[in-house]
Amino acid sequence: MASHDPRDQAGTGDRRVVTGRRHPIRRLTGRIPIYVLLIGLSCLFVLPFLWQASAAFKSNAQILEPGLNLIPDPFRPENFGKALAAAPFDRWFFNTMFIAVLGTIGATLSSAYCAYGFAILRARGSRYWFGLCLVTILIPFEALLIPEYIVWAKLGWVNTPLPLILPWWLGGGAFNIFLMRQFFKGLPRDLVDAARVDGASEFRIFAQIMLPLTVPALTVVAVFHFIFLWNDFLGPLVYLQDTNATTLPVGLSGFLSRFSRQWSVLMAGSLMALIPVVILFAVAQRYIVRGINLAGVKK
Amino acid sequence: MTQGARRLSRSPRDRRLLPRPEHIGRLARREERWFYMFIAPWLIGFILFGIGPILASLTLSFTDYDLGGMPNFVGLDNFTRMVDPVQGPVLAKAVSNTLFIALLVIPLQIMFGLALALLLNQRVHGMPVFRTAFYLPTVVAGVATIMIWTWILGSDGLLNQVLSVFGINGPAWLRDPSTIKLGVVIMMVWGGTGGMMLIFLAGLQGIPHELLDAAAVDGASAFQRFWHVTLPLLTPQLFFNLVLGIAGGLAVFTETYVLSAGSGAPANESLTLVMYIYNQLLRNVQVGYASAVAWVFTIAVVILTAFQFWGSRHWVYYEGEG
Repeated sequence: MASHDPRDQAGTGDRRVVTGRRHPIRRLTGRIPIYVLLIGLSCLFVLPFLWQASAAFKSNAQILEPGLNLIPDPFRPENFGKALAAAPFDRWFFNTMFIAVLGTIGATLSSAYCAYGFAILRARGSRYWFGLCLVTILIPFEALLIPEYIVWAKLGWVNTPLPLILPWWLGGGAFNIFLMRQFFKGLPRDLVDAARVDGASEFRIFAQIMLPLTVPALTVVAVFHFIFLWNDFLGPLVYLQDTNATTLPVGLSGFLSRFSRQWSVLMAGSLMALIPVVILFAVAQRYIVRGINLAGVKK
Repeated sequence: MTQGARRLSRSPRDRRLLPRPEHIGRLARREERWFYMFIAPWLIGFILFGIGPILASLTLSFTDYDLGGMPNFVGLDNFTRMVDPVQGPVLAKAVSNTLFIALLVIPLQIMFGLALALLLNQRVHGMPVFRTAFYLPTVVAGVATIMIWTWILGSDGLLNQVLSVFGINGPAWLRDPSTIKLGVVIMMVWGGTGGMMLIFLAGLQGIPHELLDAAAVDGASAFQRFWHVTLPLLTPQLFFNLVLGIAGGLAVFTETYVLSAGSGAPANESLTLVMYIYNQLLRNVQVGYASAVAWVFTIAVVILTAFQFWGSRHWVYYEGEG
């Protein structure tokens, strides 16, 4: 349809496209309640983060003080220097980044690939395979903790990042497969049928036609998985026992015991660990926008 | 020839004009081969690293394994122990706490997640900033969260200060046995809504403008457009959030573990099922018993999930199947 407004990036299906005669001022005043709501709610969501950020500049005594004071007094930027000097921070940062980046690439590609099979391709018993796949995330993690450790130990891969990266390249986890499957199943099937008639191979249909249509979903998988790996505590705790091989969350948790409850140093360290993820999200959320227009495909 | 007669005569002779059965079979077989090619990474991973630990854990649940020595087969002892006078009441408490938390958290997370996604899908200035702000609680993690939540839920913490503006005298959420679970619910809703919001937001991007425009032209109100166009096309994402929201809500662990330092304090009011399993495994090193409880839990969740898939045929709309 020609009336599609290319500026409508946020994808609201804004009525303005249809009833485009509203006065600009009226349109602006009509949006004021939305702004008030957005600003009010975001204050609520940002407060815990602001408290953490201000705590990173506070003295230890002030952190433990009750009350809502967000202004550091005395102002202690040296908390950051202390945190950096106290531990092999650069080492932990590198280890965490290495695992998070490789694990995320593997999980995103692999889950999209497998989910396409589960969602689009018809085969006898495919429901049961998918059911089996889903069961693997319904088992509480503790039940598998010891047997899985034994498998990795037998392979001699404990104290290497392999147990924390390799599994994500093999399927990407049932959570991500299920998520991608829901998005693939929401796409019109005619796209696949038409491409088959044109003689495209199944792999090409997946990679060149269907995958580009799921960029918002791929972004969600990548963001979820990166943050999961960045913050993962149990995995590195179990598999990376050497101090130099460990990651930020495990390293930071050791701060408290080693520095006799130095909350200020911990808060400074935690804030530094948090910033890359916030930047990543701010950049990545741009890709959660409307993809190619699908309405031209008749059912 | 009448219509009826034509239909009758079609069977033996005209079938030759249609593709032969073995030809259809070949296409289906080809698609089936591709299916296995596509799920191969998962299948290989499952065979190499998945199935072994699963079978081992199932076997351990029939033994007295405690990491020392070899496991001995003890039949159904671990399962009868769950209902004996010692463990029975504690486990029952853990189950009721878990259900209480899950029943409150799941609907709240889904409703707030959907509402926020619709809000963040508006066309306003500064949207990247708002989206990032709403997602921040999901990003904040680790040791610092204990401090943050004590600051929010303490007796003169942020929440009670806000409540006092409305003249409500809030409790010490984390120390009071009657409110600790509500504290956990607040923590989970605050921290978990962002994820659901993001999935809904991605789902909203796939809804064609033309459908919403056409509905508007036909005079549908904003609510009617949401109810009859947006919501049905968002059911795949809603179903995902429901299935994994329920599974995740029932597996609540991190929040209660962080708030009570693993003790389930006060008075076992924050003891949840998965925390009970964790403590049996890593504090009491009762590997066999912990595995048994974990498997009873798994079977219950699997049955619940199977029911949801069965029910989904009646309300989830997939464009690709319509």
